[in-house]
Amino acid sequence: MTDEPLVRVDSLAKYFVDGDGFIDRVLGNEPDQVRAVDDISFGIQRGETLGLVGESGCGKSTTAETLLGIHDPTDGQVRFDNEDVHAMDKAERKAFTRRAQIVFQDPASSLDPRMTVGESIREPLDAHDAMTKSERDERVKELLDRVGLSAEQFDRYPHEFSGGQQQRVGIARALALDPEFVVLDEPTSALDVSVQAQILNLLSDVQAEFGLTYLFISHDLSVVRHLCDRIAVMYLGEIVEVGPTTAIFDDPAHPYTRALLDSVPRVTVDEADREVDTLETDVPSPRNPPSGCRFHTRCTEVIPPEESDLDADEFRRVLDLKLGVHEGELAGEALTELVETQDVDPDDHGAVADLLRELYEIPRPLSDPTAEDALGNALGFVAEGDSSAARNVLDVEFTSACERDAPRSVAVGANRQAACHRLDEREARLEVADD
Amino acid sequence: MTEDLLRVRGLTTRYFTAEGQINAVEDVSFDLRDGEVFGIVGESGSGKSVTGRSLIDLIESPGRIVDGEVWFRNADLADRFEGDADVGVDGDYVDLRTVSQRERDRLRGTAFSMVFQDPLSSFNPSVTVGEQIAEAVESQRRASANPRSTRAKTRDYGLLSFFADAVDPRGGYVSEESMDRAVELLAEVDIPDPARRAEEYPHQFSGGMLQRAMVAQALAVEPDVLIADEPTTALDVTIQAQLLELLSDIQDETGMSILLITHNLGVIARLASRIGVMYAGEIVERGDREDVLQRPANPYTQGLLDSIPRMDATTERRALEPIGGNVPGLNDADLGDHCYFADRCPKQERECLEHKPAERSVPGEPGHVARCVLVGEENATGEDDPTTATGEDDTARPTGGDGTAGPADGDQLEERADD
Repeated sequence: MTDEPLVRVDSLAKYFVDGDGFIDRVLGNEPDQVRAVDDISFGIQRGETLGLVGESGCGKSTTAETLLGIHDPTDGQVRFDNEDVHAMDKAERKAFTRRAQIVFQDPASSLDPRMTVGESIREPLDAHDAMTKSERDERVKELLDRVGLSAEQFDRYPHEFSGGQQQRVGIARALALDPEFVVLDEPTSALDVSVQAQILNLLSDVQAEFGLTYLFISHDLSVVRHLCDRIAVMYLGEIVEVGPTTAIFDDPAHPYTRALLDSVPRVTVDEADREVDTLETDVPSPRNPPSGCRFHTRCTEVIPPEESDLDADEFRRVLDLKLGVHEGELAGEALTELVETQDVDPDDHGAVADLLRELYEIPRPLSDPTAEDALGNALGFVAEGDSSAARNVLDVEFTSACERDAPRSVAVGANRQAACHRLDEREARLEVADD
Repeated sequence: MTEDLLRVRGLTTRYFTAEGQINAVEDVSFDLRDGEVFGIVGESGSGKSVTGRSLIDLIESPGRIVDGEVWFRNADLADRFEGDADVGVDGDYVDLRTVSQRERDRLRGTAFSMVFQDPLSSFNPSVTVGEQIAEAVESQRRASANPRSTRAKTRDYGLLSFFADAVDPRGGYVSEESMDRAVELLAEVDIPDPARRAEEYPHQFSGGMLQRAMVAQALAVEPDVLIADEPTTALDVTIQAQLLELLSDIQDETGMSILLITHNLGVIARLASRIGVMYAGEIVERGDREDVLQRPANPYTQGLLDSIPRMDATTERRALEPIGGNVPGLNDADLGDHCYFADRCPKQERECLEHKPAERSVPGEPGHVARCVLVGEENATGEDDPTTATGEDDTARPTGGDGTAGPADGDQLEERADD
């Protein structure tokens, strides 16, 4: 496909500012920035379904809302059919809303309980002054029929419907204006599996029938795999990998994608014996995202510093220790209490260092003697309570590219891109091989 | 071979509401073996959670457990109630439905504990996490110091201590040792920096972290049975994977039995060795993981398996085969005497509408039973089951009877009774 995508997102960023109210200003509090979406780019071709996946809080919904013009972007641009969504005047905006619609996650709270479902579906038609009143009612009945409800249900209220039926109403409302593009924001997350399957099939059917383009947002990878042509994987406001669904599921290029796919329990008999490399920590806060590659705090494939001979596993453990020191987990009272619960005397510095080494499961000795010396020094400083010295030693000796530089997005196959330093390495090797 | 720790027979829980009688759990029977994970899977409103809560008597008005037996293996308890005419004792097994309310309350703190779905609403927001775990430790400590008295457990919770707490919130119920144990427990569930975390309040924890803390609290009482009700539903997949690993590790270490309740078949496939599938308040199919997942006998189980999108490559983009219609309401007036799945079932027969199917064994697969007239057709109904298909919950239910336990279980129980 060489033609221009229907939706083009370029370096889009959306930050939310928190703590910037009147009282905060009076008190002189520093405003807090949540970087919900940070410099993402992708395109959606006509007629395709792009899946946006990631864990909660990674910025999926913010991306969709900004893309539809619900939020103004902090930076970057969204082009819909070659028009800048955020630079439209009122008339253009109105025309745009006819062409781009959304289906929300929770059908119960996205329908007005005091309106009959017929009125809810008719509302967009009313707002756009499309057709005469009787034509509108006719259109609503048609839509009810199309989504698997019956025209007689026009006068019913949302509470009379089950969750699956309410979501059908939501879909009918989104289809009312005959849009080209529909954002589906977790449309089946609130539904039971047997009903979810009905809705997914309905979405596929109407897409084929009306030639719709979908942006499908979900945290459920099996659903994404089922419905989407291409997927974009988000982590902490960034897209780490984008490409055709089958290619990504068969051979994920980014360590986060791998971990994500790995984490989903399969419904098979062998599931209990499947090895899963679980990520050990929580998702960091988007208020203060990690430097460099945002995934480096959890990545099992983090790259050791160029000058050391450590393997990835050793370096991962040392890096965990380093992050612990940086977050103040291994200083002052916290350290004393930690040590005491393990029945070690906090004044016996050697024993404390040994204990920390054991807790972080750092092999002894490390495969690189220089690294071993540095680690020994750092652990000594931690045990003595001099955490700034420990931090310095760890920073000098154990800072890798993953922590220092944000990885750039590189091509990893046909129409595939991923942002990971491991892939830079691979690309560099390929270039050398080419020469 | 592992023994049964818990034998549930004909458990029936109903809610008596203004709109009518709701049959939330209807004639549910299953065994929980030593050191196993038994998974109960079903859609919302199928009665999975009520089943879990009924076991430990956490049913609140207008709900009531109207029938059933919960046989729990505990030699001490059996000794104590031996000869008590009111209490059902069979070898080492005691029927918890026949012991006093006080006794059940005591067991809830010591032999059974529960992990709930939503950790944030399960913790008290105004008490530190460490202290809440320490409370569980403390109550266990006091209960074992004085097993007969529930008063001992709660002694320091009175009006006086309420005022004392207002002055010094840290004083009172929880002892220093319990607090130390709480920190240890937090470390056991892999919470980094447990000593500092113990001092924090629930809102300072992330969802996954708090769910771990709840597991720690459940472990504080060193339970024989852990009931985990949708423990991972509120969590992201990577965090879910962590928690599943944690549960499995803990089980390996402590050897406790887990009743895992979830709507997620993947979670069940990962942890449970045996599965019960619930629909409209009944267990419609029960058996080993292999049997149920590979050779589902009940059309509902088959439908459930067909309607989930798969992660494995073999099923690429096939159209999903959803189950038509919706889950039925559980109002007694609407249910009637027929198979509750019949109106959605692709294999419906006339017999399905004539009476409610009893549990029937799948031929050649020991322990695999299903409530469906299509199952085990070669064997005439009622011949390999002690009671016939008409068996409602109100029929006589001697131990292992009611057509639900299957002959093997019944025999085992009798053997033990002979000892």
